[in-house]
Amino acid sequence: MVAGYLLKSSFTFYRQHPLQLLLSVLGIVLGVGIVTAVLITNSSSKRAFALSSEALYGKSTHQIVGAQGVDQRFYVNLRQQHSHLRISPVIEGPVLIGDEVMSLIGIDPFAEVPFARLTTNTPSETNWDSLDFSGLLLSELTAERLNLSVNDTFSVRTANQQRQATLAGVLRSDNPAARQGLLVGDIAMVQSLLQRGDKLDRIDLILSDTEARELQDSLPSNLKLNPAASRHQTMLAMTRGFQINLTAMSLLSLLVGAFLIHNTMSFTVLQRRELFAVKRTIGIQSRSLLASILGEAVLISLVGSTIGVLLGWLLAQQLIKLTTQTINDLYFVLHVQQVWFTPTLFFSGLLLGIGCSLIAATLSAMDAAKTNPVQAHQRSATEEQTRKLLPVLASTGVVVLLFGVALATSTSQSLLLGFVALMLIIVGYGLLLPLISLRASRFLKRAFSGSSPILSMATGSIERNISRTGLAIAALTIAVSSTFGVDVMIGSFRQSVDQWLGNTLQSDAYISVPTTVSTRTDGTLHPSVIAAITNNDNVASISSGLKLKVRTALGEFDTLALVPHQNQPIGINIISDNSASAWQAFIQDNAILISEPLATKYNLAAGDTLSIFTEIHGDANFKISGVLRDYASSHGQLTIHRNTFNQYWHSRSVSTLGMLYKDEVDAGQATEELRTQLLNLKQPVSIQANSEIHKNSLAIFDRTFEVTRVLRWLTVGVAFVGIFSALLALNLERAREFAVLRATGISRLQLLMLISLQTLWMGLLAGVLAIPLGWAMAEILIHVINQRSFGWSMQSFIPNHSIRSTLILSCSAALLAGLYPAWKLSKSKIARQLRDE
Amino acid sequence: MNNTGVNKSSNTIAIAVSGLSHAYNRHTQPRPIIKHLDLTVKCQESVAVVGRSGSGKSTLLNIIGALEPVQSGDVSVLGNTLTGLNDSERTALRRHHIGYIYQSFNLIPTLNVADNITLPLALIGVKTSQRTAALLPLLDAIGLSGRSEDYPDVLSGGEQQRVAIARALIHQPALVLADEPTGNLDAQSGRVILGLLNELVTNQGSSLVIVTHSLEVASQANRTLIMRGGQLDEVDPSPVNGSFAW
Ligand SMILES: Nc1ncnc2c1ncn2[C@@H]1O[C@H](COP(=O)(O)OP(=O)(O)OP(=O)(O)O)[C@@H](O)[C@H]1O
Ligand SMILES: [Mg+2]
Repeated sequence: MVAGYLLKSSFTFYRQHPLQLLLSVLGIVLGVGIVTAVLITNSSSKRAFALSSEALYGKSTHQIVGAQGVDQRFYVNLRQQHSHLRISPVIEGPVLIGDEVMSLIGIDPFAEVPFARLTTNTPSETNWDSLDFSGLLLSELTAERLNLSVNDTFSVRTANQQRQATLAGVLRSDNPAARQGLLVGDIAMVQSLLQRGDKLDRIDLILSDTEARELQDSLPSNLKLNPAASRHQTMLAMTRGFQINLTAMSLLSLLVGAFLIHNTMSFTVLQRRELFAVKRTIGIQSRSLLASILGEAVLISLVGSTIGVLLGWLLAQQLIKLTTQTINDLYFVLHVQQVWFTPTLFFSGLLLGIGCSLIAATLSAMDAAKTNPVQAHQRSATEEQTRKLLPVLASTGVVVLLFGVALATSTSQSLLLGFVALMLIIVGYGLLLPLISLRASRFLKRAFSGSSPILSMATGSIERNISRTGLAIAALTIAVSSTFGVDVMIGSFRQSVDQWLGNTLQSDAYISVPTTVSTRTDGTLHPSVIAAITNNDNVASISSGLKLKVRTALGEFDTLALVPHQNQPIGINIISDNSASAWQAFIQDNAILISEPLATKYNLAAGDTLSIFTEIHGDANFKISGVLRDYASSHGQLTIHRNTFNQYWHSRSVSTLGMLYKDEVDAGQATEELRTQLLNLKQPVSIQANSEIHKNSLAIFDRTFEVTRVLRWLTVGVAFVGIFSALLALNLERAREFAVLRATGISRLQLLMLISLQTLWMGLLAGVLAIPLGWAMAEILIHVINQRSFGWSMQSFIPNHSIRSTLILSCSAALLAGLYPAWKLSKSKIARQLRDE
Repeated sequence: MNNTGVNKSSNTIAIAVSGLSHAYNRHTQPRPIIKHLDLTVKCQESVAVVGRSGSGKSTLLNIIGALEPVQSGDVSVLGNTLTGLNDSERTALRRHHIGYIYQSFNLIPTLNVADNITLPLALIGVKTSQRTAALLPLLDAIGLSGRSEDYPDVLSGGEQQRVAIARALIHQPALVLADEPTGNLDAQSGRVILGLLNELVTNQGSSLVIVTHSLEVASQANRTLIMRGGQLDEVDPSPVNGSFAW
């Protein structure tokens, strides 16, 4: 009975304040939307990854891999010796169709059948016979998208060549997404297309445990039998840092979102304190009142969260494009065409929104429900209470803040603790804000007392209404500080990468085989190219590198076999403190250099050893002489001197050349000359000036952080909605007061100015207060979260424009949010408002 | 801004209303509240308006105070035809020449007593020192000398009303409009406040229109008018005359 009455009363309140209801819902919609979007994006890319690896590995239980591929003759022997085994040779690599990167996989159609990787349910429809030397199979969806039908020809590009291929058939399956971007060809064709010579990438097997044990014992030392899952694990581990970072960003948005939801909820409760007091006076129990407020919160957040989850789903469609791009840029070819939206995701988004709103509402509802009914009538009592509470809040804030700082600076490597520290610092600082706002406004009021009445009223009202203005300022501060923090983080990151590129790119120009995937150099240079460079008169010194993947005791890592320039140590990038001796050991003593993420992740340091699976000597131990700064991969990289490499591997090929021109040579002109000279050679190669690579690398960096930027703007959106509703409520609540002012003789313009000045001051205060918090957030993001998720250390650096744009952002957000109520109030009829109680 | 010529001599007209009609829209159906109302108030004259609740007294006061637009008829206040004034001219009229007192919620909660009272002076650009000079005797007169730093919400209802009166009078307006200024006070305090109001208005030579439910209040005015059927009629407010009840 009472419940129905209370619910009706709440309903009427929101019907009378529709905009506020809309804003409360919108705040929740945006908060929930962002987090679900990231959740969906992460799970979709993981899912796509799982599906495509399922497609690539099929039913295989094990695989045989070598240090540099597997010799084809070994496969033939294996077949002959163990004719009963189910084994299948595989070659895979990235190719381009048009601008799109596809995974090309070469298989032996006859050995393939038991693996069921390509034809899950309709084997008869796949036309294996047509897989001759130019035929390729394409997934049905991809063929449709590219507008290709069977027997059409299309051109396929690899690192070294371009070739016409015929669409021999399409791959159909009950899970079409799994085969997105997958090209299948006969192994011989793929071998020649990807220039693998007589090497296979691996041999897939379906083995029982005993078979596996037997085979293991009979393998030569340069081959390994691995469970099929291990490769999948490695690839998952590669993107882990990236996904954690994305999650960190979304959690930050969530934190800001939760804070704003809390604010919105507090406001709607605060506004009705007197109403609640009346109800308490009539005899309604505080328990029922509490329940009614919570019921209201559940209803509002249910609506908001449902829409939010749907918005998240829409957002995910866009986010996934950005993240797929990054994964393709940095890690491996992944096609995510389908957004993966499960009931679990739906309900976790829902739960998140409702949970946050409930917690937020509980705090303010408890306060409202226990208030003495007489006191609630007196605004001054509320304000007085708040003012008394502020020092208590602030002291709690200091304690929480210090605890957060202690946690952040602790030596733990736990990512979770990093997040907790971040949260504590934000909450602790948030608790300090109302007191600081009060003090600052008091100071300002004193400074302006006796000046124009508009000015002193504008400053005075912030102080007098601190229970509301404090909330609004805190909300704005936290929202703005998170954008400042992210800005500083990206800026520092970019600056570090920029510096690192400058140190790493020592040559004037580089030559490599045009690549299919931007950061990977997968082709090798023809000897004629190397000869042409060696004999070039302009070139003073040449460095060379071969990029390959190497298996170690810790997993598979990208590796660079390097011949550095003479007298050009890359010592600058060695961050372990023994750079000179580390470099010496690298050049002379067969030592290797490992990248920072590898060192961090596996707790390795100079002096440790790493077991690497080599082609010639099988597993061999290498001494680590130093740790290199390296932002190219968060998974970890190895650098090994070419002389060392040659002792353990057969390959003598080179994938990149770096050239230093003679001092008197004009670099730009020399590069142009080389370009024309190389055009005449058989192999198409790309020659890039130092600056070009530098620029392109930064472009990839920027692309990687595109997602972060998008998330940051969404957070600003959430913040804006929060501020808007806070200021709207604040100003509309004072409509009667403003009407009295108008009746006393304040003009429309003056009223507009009064409200704008007030909000401007709140914006400015929030902007200034946001900077220390934002800086602290950036420090934690850089030195704790990113360090622990990617393993990269870097210097923090506050970009010049950041402080300025943060102040502008917070002032204009506040002004914009204050403008509507100001305009509305200055337009409305005075007589009408004077009647409103 | 001060483009309104005002003369406070007792034989000129402060308010001239003729043929005023006013209606509120209710469910798109106009509901007339004031019908062809005429009213003349001379300078320095005090007029009490009585009438049943809902008869349109506040509406009339709001129209005269240039807060409610004139729908039809002529309203001239202190020599200014209201229909001819734009918003900023109406604001200027209020600021310089009208003092307004309401039944409740009169004060700006974010300004202290001193600032509330001197607000009209600040608005017309009077210097701080002069404002204080004007404030002190007035504070004394309303008996709140020691309370100038207090904020409205710690004052009692009667004290708040006294502050409101001081604010309505500090800039010595030619016209004071009071809408049930003693409505929620006990009889004793109401009497004190009204005495104060009348005294100050007389001293300043202002005109006063006061809406009230109290016969006692009405009897202190020069004239008493009753709002009935959308029009004003002259009545004798002596308590013996029981011909009207409100
Ligand atoms: N903005 C409005 N819209 C619709 N009706 C209105 C509006 N303002 C006032 N009214 C109606 O006009 C009538 C006159 O109102 P007014 O406030 O002038 O009465 P009043 O004589 O002052 O009454 P009281 O003595 O109770 O204060 C009332 O019936 C009121 O409901
Ligand atoms: Mg009235």
